[in-house]
Amino acid sequence: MPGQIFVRFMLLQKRLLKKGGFLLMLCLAPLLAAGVGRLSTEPAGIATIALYLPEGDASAQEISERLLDSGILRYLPCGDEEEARTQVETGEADAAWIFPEDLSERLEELGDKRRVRPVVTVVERKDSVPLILGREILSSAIYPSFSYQVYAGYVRDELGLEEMTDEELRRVYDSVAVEGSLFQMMYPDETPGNAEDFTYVQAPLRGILAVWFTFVGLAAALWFMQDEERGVYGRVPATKHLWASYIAGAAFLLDAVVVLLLSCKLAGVFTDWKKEVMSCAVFAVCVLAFANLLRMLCRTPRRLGMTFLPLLAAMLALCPIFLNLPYFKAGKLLLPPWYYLQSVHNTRYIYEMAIYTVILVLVSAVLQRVQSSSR
Amino acid sequence: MKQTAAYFLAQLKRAARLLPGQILADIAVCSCVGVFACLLIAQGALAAEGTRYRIGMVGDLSDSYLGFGIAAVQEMDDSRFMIELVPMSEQEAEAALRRGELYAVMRVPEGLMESIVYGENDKLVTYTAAQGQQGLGTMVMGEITDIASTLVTCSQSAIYAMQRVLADQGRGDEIGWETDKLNLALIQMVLDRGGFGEVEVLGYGDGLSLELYYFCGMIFLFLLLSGLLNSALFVHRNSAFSCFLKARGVGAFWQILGEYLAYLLLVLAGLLVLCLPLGFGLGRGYLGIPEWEGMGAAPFLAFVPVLFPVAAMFAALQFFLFEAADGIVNGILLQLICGIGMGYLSGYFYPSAFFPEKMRMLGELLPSGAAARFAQAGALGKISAAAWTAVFVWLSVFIVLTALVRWRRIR
Repeated sequence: MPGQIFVRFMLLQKRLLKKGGFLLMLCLAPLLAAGVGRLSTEPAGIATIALYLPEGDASAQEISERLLDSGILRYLPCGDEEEARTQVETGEADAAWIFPEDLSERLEELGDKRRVRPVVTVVERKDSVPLILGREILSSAIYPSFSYQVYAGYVRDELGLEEMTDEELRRVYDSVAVEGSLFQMMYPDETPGNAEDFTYVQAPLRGILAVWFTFVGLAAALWFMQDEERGVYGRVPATKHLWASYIAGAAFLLDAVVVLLLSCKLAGVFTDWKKEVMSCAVFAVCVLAFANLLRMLCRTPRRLGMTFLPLLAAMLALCPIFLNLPYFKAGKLLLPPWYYLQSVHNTRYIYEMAIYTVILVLVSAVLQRVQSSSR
Repeated sequence: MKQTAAYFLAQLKRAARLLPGQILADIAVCSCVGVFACLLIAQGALAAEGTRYRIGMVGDLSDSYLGFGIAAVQEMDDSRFMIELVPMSEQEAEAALRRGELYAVMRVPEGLMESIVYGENDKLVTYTAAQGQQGLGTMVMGEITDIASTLVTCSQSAIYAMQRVLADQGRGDEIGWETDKLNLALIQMVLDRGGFGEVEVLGYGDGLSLELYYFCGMIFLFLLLSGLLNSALFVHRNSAFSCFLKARGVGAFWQILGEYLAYLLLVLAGLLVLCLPLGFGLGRGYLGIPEWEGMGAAPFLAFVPVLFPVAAMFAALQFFLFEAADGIVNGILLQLICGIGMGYLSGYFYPSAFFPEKMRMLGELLPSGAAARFAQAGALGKISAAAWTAVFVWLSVFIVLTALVRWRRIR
């Protein structure tokens, strides 16, 4: 029996790999992943900022260094204020941050008075969430220079130590300066957040590939239905059709698993082999069971085809691909890609996916029995 | 010619048979999206309050300074528009995270405030994101925590430096009082930090508002992926019938044209089904698009004809993919990967402005990019000749390529 299954599996593989269209479809996924992975290395940001900082000003230099360190905004350095404004007016930039020529003096003056007043002109096309975040980044880039001036002003004015020179104040400040972050991002499996080095442009690729993979499973079910109609499985007893469909689907999904792993690697979202292979294997079995249950519920290729677009809409909306909404948990639990995407850094979801798979197989087996007895 | 017309009519009848099922599926898609949108609105997720990141705070929250800090973030700080901190127990946080109600959980270690007060900073607040892998949300969270760290550590540096100066001057007895004074001044300045910038808002300029951008993106995505819905038309196709037609004088190009026109009618029917609830929603004011505010459904009704050339181009693309894929199964998978891939590169999911320059250029060159430029210009009532040309060229290319594939198959 296992020998027969293996022969049938290999024959199906041979039949599939002879089809140019199937190979083309398999090649497109890694091509997309590699293309986006490569292009995403170029500078990008959720908002583009035209930046004008006066040359030769020490505070401007410090602020510039801090801003360019931030990875989520894209900066267009400008030669003068007019250029920065023009970039916004023409739509090249979402906002312009224009610093005054006497930035250091202004900061010193405000530090002495211990007051926050405008030191930068922010020109925006329209207020938006990325620009609100951008203004926070701007404030945090100005704050270190400002807080130093507050300290210097406090020591001279409030403590009455006017004779202290800038060098002395700076030396004391540098000797006690606190550095480093107070926060550390962790995934549920204790992997540090900075262990992954990819941009938000690459981030949705795993989700896109997971949806593609689910559709490979659904296409396999459609293929099996067509073969059934052609009488390819005429000699297989009705009660064994479920197993035959699993074998046919496995032939499709085995190729797709290899492509999925390769694509994740090319896209730059790969974690480690053991983890990836494990969650991918469970995901493949889950998709196989899911697609076959849907096939049995729809009964005809036409009806199955009709479910594809609503299903895709549900996956794009509910799975954490482009956005992660904290609603419709029940709907999410029905979708195999949701478990897969959640399981990358949380093994609990691998177990939940395995349990869901067992439920799907059991429901399919019951349905198969009901359908074959009613024939 | 007579046979070509007869073939077109036969294809039309075939498409008409599919139409009721297709309309039902369209309604299902629209209902899914509609219910989803209504529930989101009902739960306040689209309101300014609801778009905040909800973060569970667990661990040692007993310190009064920390309590004050959380209250300040919640009540006074600008960040209250972005994040909502919810103190809870570890068990409650775990359960809420599992239910998907939290964006992340922040764990405050014991002795955090002492560590900050003494400048040791050796206790880190760890935050665990609900999201499976790094995404835009976690990167934004990373920026927010970097900002918070900068504000705290720079304030610490200023205070310790002042304390060191006092100690060096032999005025150790004043340290407590002066520290409190400087602390309060710095807290006030941290809360006022939004005032560093003087904001000038220019208005929309010649671009689309984000609402209209995503409104168009949603329609394009529906059109781009509608091939999945119409796949039933390609079930049971074989080359033998095409060869037979060729023998009867209907060549590859005319076969394709007849089939394509029938297919286009299916796509247009799907588009109209989608437009009905959208028009209704706009007319009733359920959907707020700044450019069309207060004008009811009239601007949208004027916009719908602009979508027809885009629909024709996408229909030609889908038709080509089904023809090239040689079989319904491969056709569906090609539709999916091309549809999502093109949609992503052309900015249907994230605004294309988020992407690197080269990726943006590639996205604009693709058919999906040409469609986006055409319809977005149409939404503002100014379609350029270049936009028309791009759509027309892609439409022609797909028709010719499909005819070539058919010709090769039946020659």
